[in-house]
Amino acid sequence: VIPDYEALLSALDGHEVEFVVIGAVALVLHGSARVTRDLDICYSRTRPHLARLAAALKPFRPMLRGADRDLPFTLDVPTLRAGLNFTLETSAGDLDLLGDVTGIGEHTAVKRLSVVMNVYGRDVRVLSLEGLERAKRAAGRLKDLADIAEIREIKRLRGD
Amino acid sequence: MNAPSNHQSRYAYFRAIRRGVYAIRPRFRLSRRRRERASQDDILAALPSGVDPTLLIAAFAKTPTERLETMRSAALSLEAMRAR
Repeated sequence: VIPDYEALLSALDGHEVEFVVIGAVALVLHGSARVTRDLDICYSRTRPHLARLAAALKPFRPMLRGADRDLPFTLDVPTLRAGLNFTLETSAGDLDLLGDVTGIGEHTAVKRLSVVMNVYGRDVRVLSLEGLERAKRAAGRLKDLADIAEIREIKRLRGD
Repeated sequence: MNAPSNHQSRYAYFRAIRRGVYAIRPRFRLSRRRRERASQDDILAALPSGVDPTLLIAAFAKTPTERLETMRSAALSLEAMRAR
């Protein structure tokens, strides 16, 4: 399911969840022509923020993506504390929660490399081009090389 | 490495500073420029990027929300085509 970005971002922001948009959606927000099917966020793992994150996503009935429908799963604070990265399927589309971004680190480090953008009328933290390039370099997959090339072209056109 | 004489390997490119701490001898250190280059840089430099600047310039004229909605529309169109 292609995510309803407005619904997901509004719910997260409305519950004052500390998060940074990362991955392909962050690239698109910077001007990339990439097409993606999910939303990736890096979230704060402090206890109050985990409770807010669980509350924000509850209406979207999150389930583990690709897992059997019968598998019991509840996204709450103990579940979030027990894991780090979650690939979820929600009623508003696919959502990846990352507690740590390869090449950068946890939410605090990711936040330091983020910029604020107005998305759907809300101020949302988005990983900067510098941060995206660092993460893509660390991931090192073939598609990441294509993304690095695009990041460099965006920087060149912007005169960064 | 200034390991004991009975050590099977004595590498010339390390120097023991103190117990358990070693330093790479200066002539074996990578230059600062080389250290800052990632392995992918050589690949990126050798291949044409394939990036279409006109798409990027068109995106710059939009707000972040418009960029996201444009991408979402494209993804939905692709999804619809796949379903046929």
